[in-house]
Amino acid sequence: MLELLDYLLGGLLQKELVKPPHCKACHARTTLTGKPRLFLLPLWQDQAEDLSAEFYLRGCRPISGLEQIPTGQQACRVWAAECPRCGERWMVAQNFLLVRGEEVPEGRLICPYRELSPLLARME
Amino acid sequence: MKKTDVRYAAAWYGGEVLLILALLVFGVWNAKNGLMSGLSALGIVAVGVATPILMNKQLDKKAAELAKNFPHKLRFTTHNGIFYFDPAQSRAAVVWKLNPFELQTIDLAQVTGVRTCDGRQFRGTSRVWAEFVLDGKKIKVTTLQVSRGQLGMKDPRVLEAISKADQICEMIRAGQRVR
Repeated sequence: MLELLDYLLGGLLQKELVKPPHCKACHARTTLTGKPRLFLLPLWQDQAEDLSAEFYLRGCRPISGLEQIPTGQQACRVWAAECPRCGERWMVAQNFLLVRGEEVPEGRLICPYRELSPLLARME
Repeated sequence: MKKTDVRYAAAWYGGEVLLILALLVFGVWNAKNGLMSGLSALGIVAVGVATPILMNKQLDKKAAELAKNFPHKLRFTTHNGIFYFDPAQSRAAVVWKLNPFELQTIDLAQVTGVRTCDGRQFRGTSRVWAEFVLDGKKIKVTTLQVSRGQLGMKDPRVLEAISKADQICEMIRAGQRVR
């Protein structure tokens, strides 16, 4: 029954992990640009934190793949996003917890591009 | 390992039952008075909701006092207690929810049979736990307990509980590798 519901409604209930956010300026759907970067966060399990650009700049550590995520530690994908209507650029940071190959979405931050763009330049 | 202080458990659960019974009798006694019956019903719900919350607050407070001199890398609140892990010293400690008067230490070198159990029944689960054997006794550390029905195996709460149980098992194994 659960699988049937998922099959029928799964497309409508697409996870936030892969859904581009709405532009904060004009509310159009943005498009994600470039390849997402992976970072480790100083958060464990379902620990919540007041997410801000400063928090990510201070706490993120770049990693190259999912295999580098320790059990129970949150990671995040960071993308640049662009609004096709007004041209505004944004940064999207989607936190997740990796559990036996499944990604459980946790918090998400959408902020102006300039606030988080230094993250994209960080090397491992 | 003493998981339950019988008098403590009896005081809480017995007290809860007595309070609910008293409210029930009050409600039935005043069945003709809608307001009194309503208040009685509300009181029963409030007692049912408040008891576990108050028990958890008591556990948090007592555990913080007991564990302040136990250096630990990780603190874990589970369904039935609070665990502290110190893999560098190959030890852990626990304050059980039904026995919050003792910080009971665990020598991780003595632990065997470490595993995560997802409690899967058909397509869902109502309980997730990490378990290990200490002194011949199986100890279960519950990370998810659903009171009614089941959650699907892909439910975020189930996955998070599995992650917690996996992390507990890894902490124990990391502590065992130190020795």
